[in-house]
Amino acid sequence: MPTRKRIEITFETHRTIVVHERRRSRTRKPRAYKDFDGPQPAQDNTEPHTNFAPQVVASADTAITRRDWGLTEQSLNRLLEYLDPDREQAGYKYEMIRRKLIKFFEHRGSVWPEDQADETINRVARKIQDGQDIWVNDPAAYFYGVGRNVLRDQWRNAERPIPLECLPLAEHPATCHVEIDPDEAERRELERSLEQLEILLSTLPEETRELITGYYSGEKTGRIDNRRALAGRFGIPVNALRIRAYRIRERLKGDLAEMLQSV
Amino acid sequence: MQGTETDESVIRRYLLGELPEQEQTAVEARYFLDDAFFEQLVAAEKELIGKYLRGELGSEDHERFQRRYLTVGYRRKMVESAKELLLSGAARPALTAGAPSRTSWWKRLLGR
Repeated sequence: MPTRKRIEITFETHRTIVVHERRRSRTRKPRAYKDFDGPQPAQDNTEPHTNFAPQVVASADTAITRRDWGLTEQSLNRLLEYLDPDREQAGYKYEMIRRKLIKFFEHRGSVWPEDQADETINRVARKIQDGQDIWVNDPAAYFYGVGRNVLRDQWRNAERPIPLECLPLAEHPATCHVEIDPDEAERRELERSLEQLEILLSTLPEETRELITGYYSGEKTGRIDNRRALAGRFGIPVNALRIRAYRIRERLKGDLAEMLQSV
Repeated sequence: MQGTETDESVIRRYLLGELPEQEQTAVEARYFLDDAFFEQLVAAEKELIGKYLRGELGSEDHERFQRRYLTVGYRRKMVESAKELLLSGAARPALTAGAPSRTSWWKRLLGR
C-alpha cells in the first residue's frame, strides 16, 4: 500500500492544520473498503487565529489514497482561493467553516462530526476542482448546504456492513435469551430502563429508529418474516441488516448505561 | 424563529433540541453566515454545560440537557471533559464500574 501523504497548512503562528486525514477512534472498526494508516492529526477546533499566512508544506501532488475523492495540494489551494483571494483570510475562513460544520454535525447527532465536516469540505473542493459553478454570495452558506447533504447520506448509510465472517464469533449478533428474574427491584429497574430507552429511541433518526424497532418486533417466525421484509425495504441483505441492528443495539446499550448512571 | 425571541433564548432552545426543524435550520444558516452569532452560540453552550454540572438548570432543562447531551457519544464527551475540568484537583465521584447487563430489558422490549 503506498505511503499516505498529508497536506499541511502552516501559518505564521506556527500552528499547522493537517487537512483531511480522517480521525479514527481506536474502537471503530475499519471500513471494509479501506484502512487509514499514519499518525492522527492534531485536534484543531479552537478559536481562530489572528495571523494567517498559510504555506503548503507538503509537496504531494498525488491525492490522498482513498476510495473516495481525496484532497490534493492543488485542490486545497483552489479551495482557499475560492474562499478568499487573500491567503490569510482564506485560512481564517477555512477554520471557521470547519468549526461550524463540526458544530452542525454535533447537534444533528452525528457520531463522527469531524469526519463529516471533512467530507463536506472534500465535496466542495471537488466541485471547485471540477469547475462547477457555485452561485452563492457567501461560501459558508454553500458549505452548509453540502453539509446537510452529507448528513442525509450519513443516515442513509448509517451502518456500513462488513462481512459477518469477519466478525469474531463472540460478536455475532444474536437475540438474547436471558430470562428476567421477576424480582420486584429488578422490575422497577427494568421499567426505568425502558423509560430511558424510549427517550433514546426518540432521539434516533427516523430511519434508524424504524430499523431497530422493526428488527425486534414480532415473535419467532413472524420476526423472521419481518426482518426479511425490513431488509428488502432498506435494500440490503438480511445479514447486513443483522449487523446494522446489532451495532445500533450495542450503541443504545452503551448510551442507556451512561444515562442510567447519570440520572 | 419568533421575531420577538432574543438570540439568547433561541440559542438555548437550539442547544436543548427544542426548536422545530425549520427554526433549527434557520439558526444553523444564520451561524454559518454570522461569525459573531456562532461564537455566541459556542459560548452559550459552554455556559449551559457549566450550569448543568453545577446543578443550576431547572428540572425541565435538566432533563432536556440529559436527553440531548448524554445520549450522544460526542456531546457526552464534551460534558465529561467539562466535568473533568470542573473537578480537577478534587476527588472524582465514584462511577459504577462497567455497564450493567441490559439484556433483560431488551428481551422484555422484544416481547412487547
